[in-house]
Amino acid sequence: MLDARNQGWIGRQQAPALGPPPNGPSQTVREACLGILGCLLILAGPCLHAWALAEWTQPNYSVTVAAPLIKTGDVQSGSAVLTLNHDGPVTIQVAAASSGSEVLNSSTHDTLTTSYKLTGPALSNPDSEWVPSATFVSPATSYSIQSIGPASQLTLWARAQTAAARANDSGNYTASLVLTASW
Amino acid sequence: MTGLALVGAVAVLAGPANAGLGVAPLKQELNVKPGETAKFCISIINKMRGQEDTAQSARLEIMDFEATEDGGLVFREPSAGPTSASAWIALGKSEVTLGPGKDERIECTVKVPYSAAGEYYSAVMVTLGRKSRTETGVGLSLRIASGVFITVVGQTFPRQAKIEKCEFVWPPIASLSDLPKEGQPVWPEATVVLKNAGRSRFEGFGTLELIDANGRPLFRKPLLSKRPLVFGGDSRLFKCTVDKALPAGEYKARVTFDYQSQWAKAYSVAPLTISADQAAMLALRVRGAAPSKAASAQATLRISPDKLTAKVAAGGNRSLGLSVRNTGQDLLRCTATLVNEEDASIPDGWIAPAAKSFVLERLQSASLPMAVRIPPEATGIHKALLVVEAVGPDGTTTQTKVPVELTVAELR
Repeated sequence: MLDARNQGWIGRQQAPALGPPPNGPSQTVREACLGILGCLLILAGPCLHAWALAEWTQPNYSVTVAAPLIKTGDVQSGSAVLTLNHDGPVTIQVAAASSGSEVLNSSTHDTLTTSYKLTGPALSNPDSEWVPSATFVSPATSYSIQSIGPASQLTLWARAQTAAARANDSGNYTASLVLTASW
Repeated sequence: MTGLALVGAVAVLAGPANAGLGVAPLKQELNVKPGETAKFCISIINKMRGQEDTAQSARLEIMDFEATEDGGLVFREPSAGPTSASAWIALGKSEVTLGPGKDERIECTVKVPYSAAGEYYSAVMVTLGRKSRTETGVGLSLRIASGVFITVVGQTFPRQAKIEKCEFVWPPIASLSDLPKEGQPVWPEATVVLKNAGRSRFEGFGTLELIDANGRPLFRKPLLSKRPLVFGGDSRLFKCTVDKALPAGEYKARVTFDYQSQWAKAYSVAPLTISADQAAMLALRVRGAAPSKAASAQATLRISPDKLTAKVAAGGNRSLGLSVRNTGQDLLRCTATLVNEEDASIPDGWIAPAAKSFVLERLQSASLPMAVRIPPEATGIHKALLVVEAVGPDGTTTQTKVPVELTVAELR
């Protein structure tokens, strides 16, 4: 005998119409999108859940830095805005895609001093300062969205700095991060 | 060689606009007897957004996870850890590709060994398939983790909690009249660590009270955590700011935690001294924040409908939902709790709100969905109250009670 709580959606009735009028057009669109998503889930069959969902609205993102780094000690930064649709509190964890990949490095294995920050009005603990790359991807660093959506915009900032006492190799520098949204 | 490193304007080099994937649910709970097999589903959704939408792919895998003290989650490759359920779970699919507007339910099975007892956890990690294409800068891959919480029915383990630490951190008092610089703390902060000393997970709901030398409670505020759920053996950080003017003197800081035990709560009492300088700083900062406090006093939570009723077949499932709106100008921290009335109560596990605690920004509205699952043997009418408590930034608490009535119809 098993008891799979929250497992199925056998009932045919949908949740009651929810919510007073939204605040503005963009919110209307977002709420409508989540509503459609919820309806899809309810109608889709016995194993679906009409709640507790999260959706990245892009399959991936990239952040490029605004201008070339010319001389020693140069600093440049860039950002990307990420949209996460959700209907419950969400935690965001950042990790390096592979060991050391949080640091901007070149094909010659030269590296730039790399730092990040994650900001956004929905975050309960946005970064106010640049965070060194190792700290940013450490398991102890996580970001919390305690609101229940329907959409939260996050801005990921990346900053690159050339070495102060030597010239970096010329070329393109890349880094790879993984952002995980969870319950 | 000089450094000529990163080029290009700030840009988001993603694929076609609005082409991501959704995952539901973000967590689910299974009660399974030792030696039995249960099924559960993960849904992947490629929502239709426009004519230029394309097919999207995702990779699924089982991962272990553990929580950090501040509530973050760390995902790892499956192991034979004492609370890992990864070895018991088989995914119906490890890769999925969905056209625009399509969704797919992936059925998974979990086979619990005869020897298992207690609670086990794992996550289904959904990695969005397309890799970032950046040639310079930072490429981001995106994942969504769906938690699977398995309780092995039979042996039960009591919930046990203890308060490990209660500390106060005061902002530096350089000059009493100086306002803190950006990024500096404005208010003193209480930091409490709650330890789950047992094997059963629980959600912790804590309160800090400051009691003066005459025994009068002068300050009371909820303690908040990024993740109130504390797994067996874990410790969790809870915090609150002391944002009320308090006279200098000796206090007792009393911390009380409800950890979902019928029998006990966790308590701790520690002495706290507020110096004359600290009292003066609190008074100044409270005066500086006065307009915000006046606004928050008027903050209210509007909830509709004012009653939830549903007819559900025995053994059936359905959804219920509430709309909640913060009509005030300040952020509200809310908790939703199902409280049973004396007769005809709704048993534990029948109703699961999508979020037991959440935050509403000023003037924000949101839906609070609830999953209802009725056991096959159930009958009759069952009633409870859904209590939604909203706490403003000044600690002002408002409570709204929504009656919930479930009529269970027999299966024919």
